[in-house]
Amino acid sequence: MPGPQKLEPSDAVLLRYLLGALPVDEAEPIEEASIVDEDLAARLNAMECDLVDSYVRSELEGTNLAKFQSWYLSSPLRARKVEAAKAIMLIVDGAEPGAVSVTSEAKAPVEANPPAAAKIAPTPTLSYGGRPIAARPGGARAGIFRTWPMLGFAAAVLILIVAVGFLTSRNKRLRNEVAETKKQTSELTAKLNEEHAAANVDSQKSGAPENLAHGLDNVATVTMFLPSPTRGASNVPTIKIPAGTGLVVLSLGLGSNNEESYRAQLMDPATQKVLWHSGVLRPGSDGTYVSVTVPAPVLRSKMYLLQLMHDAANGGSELLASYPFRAEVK
Amino acid sequence: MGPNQHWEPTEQIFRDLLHWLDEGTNSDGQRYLEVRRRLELYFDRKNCVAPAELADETLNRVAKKLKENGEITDVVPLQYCYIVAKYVFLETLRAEKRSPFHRPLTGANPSNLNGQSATLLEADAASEKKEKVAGCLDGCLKNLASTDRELIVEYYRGQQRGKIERRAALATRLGLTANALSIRACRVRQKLEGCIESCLKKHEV
Repeated sequence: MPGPQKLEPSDAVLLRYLLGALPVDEAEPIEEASIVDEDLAARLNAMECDLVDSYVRSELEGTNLAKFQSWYLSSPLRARKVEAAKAIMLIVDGAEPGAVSVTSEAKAPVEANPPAAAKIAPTPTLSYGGRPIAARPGGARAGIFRTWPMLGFAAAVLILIVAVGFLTSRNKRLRNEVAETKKQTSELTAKLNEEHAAANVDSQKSGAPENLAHGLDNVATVTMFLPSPTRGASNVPTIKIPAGTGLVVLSLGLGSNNEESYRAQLMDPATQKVLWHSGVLRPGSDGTYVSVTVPAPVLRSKMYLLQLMHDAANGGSELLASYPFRAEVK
Repeated sequence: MGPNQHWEPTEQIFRDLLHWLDEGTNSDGQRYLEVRRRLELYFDRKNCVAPAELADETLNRVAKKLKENGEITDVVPLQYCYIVAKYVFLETLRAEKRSPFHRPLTGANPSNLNGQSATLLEADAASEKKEKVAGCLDGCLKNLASTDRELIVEYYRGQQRGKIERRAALATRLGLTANALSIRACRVRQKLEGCIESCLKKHEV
């Protein structure tokens, strides 16, 4: 089966494609690659996200802005992406994004067929693996007030109230979660230490040779507690794995999750590939954590995401939480 | 739209299609959804009026071909889907009476909404709409994994220089390249967008 030929267009070419400014013969290979080529499809998506953001933040200008208004917004599906982006910006920025309404902006007459390639603004901002696309610094936030002076102001006030309320309640809840997580961490660490001490006593009582106990420690397990992820928890824990380790036991703080059973999968965040997945996992006796035993040979010295899932009633898997960690294999 | 317009795959044929698209793995239907999404984007970027229907039509034709042939081995599945999509598009081009394309927006054609009301784009209900969107976004953010929530907030925060620096720091912290980070952020963002859209549709019903 012949595979598709790899196409690597520049960011500028992809931008023109997204703005409907590419001639048919140049657009066709990109259309094909947007379906056939995983990398290009992902790159195009990411670029479209940032293009929409640039518009919402009033960072587009000139030909790009004109093409965006005349062509990009001509599709209701694409216009909905702009509206969704505005909503996301609203929460992220905590205030009204700068762009005017889709319908009112679209009423401005625009150039029918501009020479887009020649007019892409030169200021580099982001790159997607090709040459950078253009956007301009600053914004034209005043536009909304010229267009809808009263309605714009009223909407901005309303949005601010909603956003502040939302962020206040979220912050409060997150603070509680962080406090709870810290408590769980210290309790579980103490518990793990106790169990470890008890295991040593048992092995001595049973007359097990000391070197066998050390052998089990080294060959069998490295244990670590990963707290329930929260927005505020920004430090990625590092797990040091000595040479010869067979298993890595990760105790995952469950936070507010209280399912009867879970599954976990190990993902490489760079490639989004699942490297390993567990069987059914049961929470610990107090229901605050679940332990996952990962074969050490799966791990290299790099970042990982351990994703905790729950088997949903419809037969699918529901992602409950992701625990980032860095492995250091010695 | 052609002779296949009313043909629907049976459950078994649909399963065969999923299996074929998976190419030996088991994606639990995720691959099918991704291919359908790419096809919808393909038709939308060609300004077709009904990109979702055309994507479904394309996959129905692929499924029918699979049923007839038993297997398709001369091209990889995605390549074959593209070829079929191209045919579906060309047929749409010929169906002039259906006026299947959105026209560019100009002073004379300020909107392609064709009288849709109570949608995201209704300007005169802006504040009510934005309240709904904010409510939906709140719910959708809660449904995200906390790492995704943190990522999307961090990724989109700030303007220009500050934003670029923040993203570089975020990429370093997550052990990702800038390119991989933007792709991941976009995936989370699309998840959010889909959730907001479903939520708004529920409110409209």
